[in-house]
Amino acid sequence: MPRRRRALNGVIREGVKMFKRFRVALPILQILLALIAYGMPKVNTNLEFDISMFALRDVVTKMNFPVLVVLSPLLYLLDRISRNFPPATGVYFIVVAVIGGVVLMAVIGGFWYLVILEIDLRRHGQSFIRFNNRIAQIVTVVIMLCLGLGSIVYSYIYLRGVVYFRPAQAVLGAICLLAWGLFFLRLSLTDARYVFGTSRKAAM
Amino acid sequence: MQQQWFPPLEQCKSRPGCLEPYEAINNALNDLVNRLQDPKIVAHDQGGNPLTLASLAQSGIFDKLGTDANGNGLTTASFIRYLTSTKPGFFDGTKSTYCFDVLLCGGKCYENAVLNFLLNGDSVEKYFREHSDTAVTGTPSHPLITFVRPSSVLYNSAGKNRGNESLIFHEALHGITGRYDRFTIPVPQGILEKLGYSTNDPSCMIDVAIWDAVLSHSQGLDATTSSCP
Repeated sequence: MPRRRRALNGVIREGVKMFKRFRVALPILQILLALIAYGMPKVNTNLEFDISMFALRDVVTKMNFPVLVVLSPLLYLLDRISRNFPPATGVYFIVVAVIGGVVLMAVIGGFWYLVILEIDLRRHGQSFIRFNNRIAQIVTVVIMLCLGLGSIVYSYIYLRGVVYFRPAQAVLGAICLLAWGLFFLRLSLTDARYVFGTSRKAAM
Repeated sequence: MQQQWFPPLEQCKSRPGCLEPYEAINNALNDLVNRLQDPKIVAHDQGGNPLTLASLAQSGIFDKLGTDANGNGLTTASFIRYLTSTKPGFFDGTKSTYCFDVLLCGGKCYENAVLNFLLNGDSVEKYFREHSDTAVTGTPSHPLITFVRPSSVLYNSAGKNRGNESLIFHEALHGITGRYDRFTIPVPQGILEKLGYSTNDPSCMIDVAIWDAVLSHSQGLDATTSSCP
């Protein structure tokens, strides 16, 4: 096993120990929040309660903004394609809905697991989204830069759009988006330095 | 499926001058706008200054609500612009499969049954089946989008009556301000609280406030309305 890979495995093991509770607790918390936000409006029919739950759902969606970015095109395509087929009903509907729900929760849980893992790895100078291939690394940096800038711009647009009539929801949602923006900007800038540093060494 | 998101109110096609919900509501809308634009003096304040219906609406309703959904000051003129710049949409709420949550809180309404079930709440049609509300409005919505229960539309005076015009006024307040009837966590002050009522008062008290502060001063308006407890 190459030294670099062994060192990475060691860091992962150490990080896993240190962040064990957090690594498990945060994805579970996110899944529970998503279950409450998406599930409760189907149970309670009181209008004011519904509206408050919808607001929570909006904040939870902003909290999982990167997941939304990844899933949105897929959901849009599924929605468009399904117009050509008869709507799912009966047992078929239940099976597809259960599978869809499980996948959605698994994606949210898995995403938060990876976020904690990446933060932990970076604390030790490692990362699972850094590549030796320079082109792959540049692509990753560009994607993260776009996500970071996109999140910040979106937080401004979102805040400006709803702050006057849903102030609490607007502030919470915008904070989530801004946090993601800063997170991805920091990752992209750090990795950009890493790419340039590597290239300078290689040039020398 | 998408065609049923915005089903039109039943429209009169049999003979000229007949009246169905579509005509009654649109007659009421036109009459309401005309009344609010009418420069005729309808009352005097304590200092003896003349008041039009527009100034009564300003002091009795719009000043209390403060701003519209974009944070701009709410005025009778901006309210009239809201109702006239783009034609408001009045639809049959008892037939609509549009997502109720999207109507009230924004977002995307998925057509796919499974995606709709997982990511959206109930349909407007289901809400009308399980509740007695007369109308539900996009909060906010530009232009105004309102789903109406057809059986709640009143036909007296060709639709130009207190019940219909209060309903349009009430729903347009949701559309232009983004405020719900009463307290919710995302919008702590609803229209009821802003107009000086309690959170526990029924929603129809907003219609009563509109009548008392504005429409009752307008001469010749048919006073027919539904009862409010």
